[in-house]
Amino acid sequence: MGLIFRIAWRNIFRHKGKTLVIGFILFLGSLVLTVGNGIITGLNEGLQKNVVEGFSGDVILAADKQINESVLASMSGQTLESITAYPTLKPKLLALPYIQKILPVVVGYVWVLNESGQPVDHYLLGVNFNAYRNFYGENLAVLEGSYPDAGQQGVLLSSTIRERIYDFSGFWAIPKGQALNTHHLSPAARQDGDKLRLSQQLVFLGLSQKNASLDIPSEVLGVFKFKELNKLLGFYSLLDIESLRECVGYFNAETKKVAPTTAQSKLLEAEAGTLEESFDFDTGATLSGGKPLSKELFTVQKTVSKTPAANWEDGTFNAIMVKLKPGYSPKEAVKELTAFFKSERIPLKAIRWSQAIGMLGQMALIMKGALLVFVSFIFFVAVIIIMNTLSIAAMERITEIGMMRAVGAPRAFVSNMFVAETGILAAFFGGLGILAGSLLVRLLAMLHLSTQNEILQIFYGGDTFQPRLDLVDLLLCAILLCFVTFLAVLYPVSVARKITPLDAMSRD
Amino acid sequence: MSLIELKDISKEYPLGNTSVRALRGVSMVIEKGAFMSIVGPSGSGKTTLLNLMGCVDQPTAGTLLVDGQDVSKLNDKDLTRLRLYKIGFIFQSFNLIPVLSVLENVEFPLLLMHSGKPSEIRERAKTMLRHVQMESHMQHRPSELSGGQRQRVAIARALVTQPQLVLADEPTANLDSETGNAILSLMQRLNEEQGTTFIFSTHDPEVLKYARNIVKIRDGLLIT
Repeated sequence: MGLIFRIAWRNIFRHKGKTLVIGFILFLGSLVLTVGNGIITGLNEGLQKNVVEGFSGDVILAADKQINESVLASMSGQTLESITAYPTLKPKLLALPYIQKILPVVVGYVWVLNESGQPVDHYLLGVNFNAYRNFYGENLAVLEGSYPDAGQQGVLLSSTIRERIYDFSGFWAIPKGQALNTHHLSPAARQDGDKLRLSQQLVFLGLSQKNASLDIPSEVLGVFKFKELNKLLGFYSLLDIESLRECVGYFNAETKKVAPTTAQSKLLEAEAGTLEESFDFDTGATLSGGKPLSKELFTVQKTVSKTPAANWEDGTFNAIMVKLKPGYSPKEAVKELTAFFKSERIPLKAIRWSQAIGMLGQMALIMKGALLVFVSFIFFVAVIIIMNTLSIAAMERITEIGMMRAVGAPRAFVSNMFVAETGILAAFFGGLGILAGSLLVRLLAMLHLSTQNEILQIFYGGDTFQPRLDLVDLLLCAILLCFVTFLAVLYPVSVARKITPLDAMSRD
Repeated sequence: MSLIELKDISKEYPLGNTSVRALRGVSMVIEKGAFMSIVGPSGSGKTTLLNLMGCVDQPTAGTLLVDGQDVSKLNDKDLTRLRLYKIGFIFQSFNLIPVLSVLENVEFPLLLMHSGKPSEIRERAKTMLRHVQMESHMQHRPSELSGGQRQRVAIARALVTQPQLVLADEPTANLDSETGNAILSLMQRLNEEQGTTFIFSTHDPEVLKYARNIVKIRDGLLIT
């Protein structure tokens, strides 16, 4: 091998022009690959940090009947399938070795009603505020009002939604008991000046694909924005869970405490359309052969309203957010949870966060794919150029190679000589490219470039561009470089191997 | 004892839609220790004959035995080994590996053979360079040598493996007469001292003075 490397090394200096062409291509390819890798890693980690740790958790559990897996951003507005019996599920889930914590929520799609303007559609996350804060920590920046206390009823309104409500309905929501903070006004609202209509209360109408549920008034307790990715995640506001349950027609903790009969439960959870279908207005038919249906429903609702509040975890949910212990991947966790639910006959399904966030996750995937395609294209071009240059080099060295073969060099010697030459170039120029790429990634991260553009925010994985590389990325770059070099050298090697001593002599 | 046997050897090369017959049924036996010249005008088939004997080409018809082995039955790997261990080549244009020094060029076939420790290989190469009086140029690159010096290095490389057969295709064609005579004298000395078989092609009558055996060839046929 020493002889091969000696010849290869000296040939590199002998053919300086070709060395520089191949070297430049390898340098550029490695640089682009490294920077691209840095961006993808930054994007992944940014989304991981900002979405998983501040919005969705690693895994979202939904009812097994739930078909659409974009549970946190369903475009259809379809009500999610409900999850009951959470109190019995909770200990089982927390006993799993890979689960760190869980947060049961109600995901609701509502209209914000307005007597004079257009209703605004809006996603609400029904949460226990304390539990939410315990789960996500300080992921929100409360701009006005304050973070709600435990048990407090009302909405913590997203600043993005507040602007949207103003744009469609013409009023500006402010927290109860707070004066207007003009610093936070949108440019359009600022133009209204003294004529600006203010409201400290919003009326939500629960929506489903089948029909609407109840409308509920809700006090604005505060206005917030997500500390990261607010442009993308700010389509959600937080509502106390009991209000949202009532709004979308789920059992809340109080109805559970009353322990309604099966028939009553059906009535309370049924969509309005179902109720109409089962109710005979003319005859006053009953559901169970006892009291008239309308009276039955009235009795339940009346009892519920007078019953003291019970544990919020007793009610109905439609999603459970899961945070995994460090070192566990969502993909593996989904696999294990699926097997667990199957073996325990628990009617739940596990969904990875990237699927649960719907379009946002898909956009991130598309961007990663586009970056990969770009990097692959660069490498494809590099392979072609290197292949051509080396093939020409092989043809120009027919006399030398043929003479080596005549003297007794086997074909493998010729192959190894070409591989060694290209390998040395790849190691040097590719290595330089990876090094330069790493420095560029570090430099870009130090610039703290920030954006308010939604697309760029996905590309950045947050509000700030934070590309980063770890050892695995660098190793991946090196492996890819080796692979590209191998591909590029295949054809020239086959050309060189076909050179016979006779070819050399016929040129002599 | 025969080293090479040619039995009714023919060689045709395709040329467009037709073919050129370079050799037309050549038969001969070359004994070990021969110092033989193949003589003929350009295009007579001298180089083709040398190429066949050196196992760098295959005959179209006939049988060629090199040291008792039928070369038509050997694969590329075996032919390469045969060239490495039994045959030395001296080309017309003193083909040396340009990126290697004189010493490294002579070491080259020994390194391919993995014949001994690096220090032993180096010593053998130096000894051979002393034989061809190129010891003082060991560290030079081929581009720094004259034509005669390069040819001496090529001879050293051809002989360093102590092959049974050395083939030289017009070894003095590109040399001045003084250098050419010196090279032929050297080959003659090595033939006498080491018993190496030399076969060289030429169309220079001056060169023929050195040959013990002369084979004349014309239009692909042996005429003596």
